[in-house]
Amino acid sequence: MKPLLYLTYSQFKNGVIRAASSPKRLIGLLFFLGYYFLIFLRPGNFGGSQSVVPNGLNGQLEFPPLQLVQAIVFAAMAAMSLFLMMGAGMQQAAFKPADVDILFPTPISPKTVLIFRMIRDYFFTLIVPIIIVLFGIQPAKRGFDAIFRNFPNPDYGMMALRALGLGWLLIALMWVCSNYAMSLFINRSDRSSDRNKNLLSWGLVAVAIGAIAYIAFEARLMPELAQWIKFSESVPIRIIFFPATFALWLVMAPLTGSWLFGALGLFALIGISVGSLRVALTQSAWMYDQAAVKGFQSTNLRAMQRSGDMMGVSAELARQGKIKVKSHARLNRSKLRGPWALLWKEAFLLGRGMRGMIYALGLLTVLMLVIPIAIPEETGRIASVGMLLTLQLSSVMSLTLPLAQVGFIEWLRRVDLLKPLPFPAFRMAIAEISAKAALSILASIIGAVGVSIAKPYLVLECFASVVLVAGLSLVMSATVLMVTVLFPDVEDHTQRQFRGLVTMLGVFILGSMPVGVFLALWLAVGWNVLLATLVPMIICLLLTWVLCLIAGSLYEGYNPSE
Amino acid sequence: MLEVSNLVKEYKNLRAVDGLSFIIHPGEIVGLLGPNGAGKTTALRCVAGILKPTAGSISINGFDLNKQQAQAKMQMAFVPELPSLYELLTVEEHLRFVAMCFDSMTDFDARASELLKRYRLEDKRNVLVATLSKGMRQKLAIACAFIHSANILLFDEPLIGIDPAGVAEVKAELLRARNEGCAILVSTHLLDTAEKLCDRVIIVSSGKMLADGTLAELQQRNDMQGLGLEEIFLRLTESPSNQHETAPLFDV
Repeated sequence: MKPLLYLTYSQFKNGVIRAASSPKRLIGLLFFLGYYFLIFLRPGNFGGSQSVVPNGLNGQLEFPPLQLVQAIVFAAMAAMSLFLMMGAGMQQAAFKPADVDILFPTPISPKTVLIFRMIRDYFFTLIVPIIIVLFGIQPAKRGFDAIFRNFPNPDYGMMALRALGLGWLLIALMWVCSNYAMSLFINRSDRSSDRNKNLLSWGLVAVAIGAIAYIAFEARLMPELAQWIKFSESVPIRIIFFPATFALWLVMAPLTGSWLFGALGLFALIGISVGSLRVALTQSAWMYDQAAVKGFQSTNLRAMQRSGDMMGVSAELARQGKIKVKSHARLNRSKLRGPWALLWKEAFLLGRGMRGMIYALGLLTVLMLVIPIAIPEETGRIASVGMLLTLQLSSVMSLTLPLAQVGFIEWLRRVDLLKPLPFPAFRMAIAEISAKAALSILASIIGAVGVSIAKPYLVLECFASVVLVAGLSLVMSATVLMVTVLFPDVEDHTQRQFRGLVTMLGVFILGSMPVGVFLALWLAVGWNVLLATLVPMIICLLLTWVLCLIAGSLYEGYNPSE
Repeated sequence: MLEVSNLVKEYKNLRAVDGLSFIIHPGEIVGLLGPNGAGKTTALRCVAGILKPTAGSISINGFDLNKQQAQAKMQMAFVPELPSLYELLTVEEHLRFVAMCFDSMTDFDARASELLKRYRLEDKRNVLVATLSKGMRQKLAIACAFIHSANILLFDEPLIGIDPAGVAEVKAELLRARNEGCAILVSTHLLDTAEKLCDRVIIVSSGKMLADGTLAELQQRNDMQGLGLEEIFLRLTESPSNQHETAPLFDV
């Protein structure tokens, strides 16, 4: 245990020193501390002995009905259980790669490592309650005293608070132990663990669906608080949330005098914890194996998610067999040549790397078709046109922008592959921004054609919206490209956040210009709607051309090693 | 002495190591050779006690790795390919942590200083691992292997990522360890290095052992007189029966 303590202490100490040694990290650390200070330590919490009971309520605050207290405690424990249960079956052995390479080959027993990790994780589950206890115990005690002062024995307030704390400690312990036991049991690399995993997963899903269905069914009949309280006492609910039931028995014992149930709850929670610990320890021989096989996968995924490498995430999922590859015969027959081959590549990457965008495209297209068509004619032409334009322009924000943000990072990451291609960076930039803009233009065309067929009197507005969307998509895409090339450190967290801010600013400035000109020409000057899109379109194309020219020349000088 | 007998490691639908058996005696450097995906790293990780073998036994100086894990691991050191180290430990703390794990703190300061000097990491003693270059990390991982008195050394591609001077140092270190009586298993792709450095080589493909012996023995057994290790390796691993890189057990 000593080397593990040394490792944890040294890493924590060096982490703090490191965080304080660089202004950038120091700002992050201060922000983190400030956040916790505001949440837990704000001046109101140091109120000395002042009463927490608002003046107007002095003398009126009564001990609530016992049933209500029970229902609240039960709901709190059930919520906590659900929160802690989310880790069930997940890869608890998600060690760092350094653990696999350095710690595992040492003679430290896997059981020691397992117990150490359980203690550490248990401590983490208690950080928030500990902070609350440290800084909030006095206000909480005053509150409890105020509530319990009319109770036959005023000391019950503090007893109930202590029992609540004990219930919390035990329920957290139970879930930490059982999550480890389940995770180690079902994530082994042997074949039998697949069966165990399926059984457990389907069992949990069945229980969850059953519980949700039951609660939803009962909820229809319960508009009153009293019925909800009764519902929380029903046997099925108490069985489904059995850890919360045990904790409730324990917490309520000082108030109800049901010491037998209190003891039962206490021993049940301890019993489940001990049983889970035993199971976890018997599986500990598999822990290193699991960490080496699976831990690396989740570590890599998390690292890529943190660095915003969404294509890398998809590639990792593909390596794990979670993304299946389909051949696209039609795409393979493409006649695109030169830099336009980048469009062809984009189609594959989109389908495999950003499948969510395909779903978004489908959803948005349906909305663009259905909503303007569904607006009744008597509502007026303005409402239909307004909705049509809003939906069409929203496709730029929801399709082009995310695609461009992910895609141009990928463009920088693949610089060694793309730069040697036989065409100038400017043409490459034009092809890349067209590829990112294509999806929203496609959605816009489908939407416009559909609405024109259903409402022929909107045909001009529909085609005007397509022209506007095309121009805006190109300029938005070029803006993201420009910002990405200006702040090209793909690994730097601060630069990533800054890039996001500057992108939003650029999108707002460069996007509002053509839209403003369009609205002015159409609504103020009174030009024909289609004609009014031509000037903004020219503005968009000019902006796109200039941005691609600058971004292309910056890309030519881009060196990922710098 | 390291004795591996009928080692099998299966994943859910893949047999990565398939019945590997070999012995490495003290004072011997054995090269573990094979194409990509042959199961070298999996085999080494099983021997290092990181992966749990599906079948077979591993004995380290008479200690069964499965039943007497702590005693067995005390005897050996493992240097992984492109090692991941604890980024938030300093170089000295890293060495100290490994020494603590192996309960080898006697004369730690003197041994750490000697190793840091040998691998030219003295001036990095108090800097975080996060700031080290790839080559320095590799050297630190090797220094960690020598911080306790291991007599079985496992190296997974130890020469990847280090400069020529570093390569020469690592080779010299391996030879020195061999002369001190260590049994050394080195997985490598560098066939010319293996030919010069190793007393014996084991060639694996698809998790199975194709050959085990000295260069002369391989030439004799496979009727390949006069051929170098590279030609023998290519002939063995590219024969039709060894074309696939991994051995799927079931439909993938």
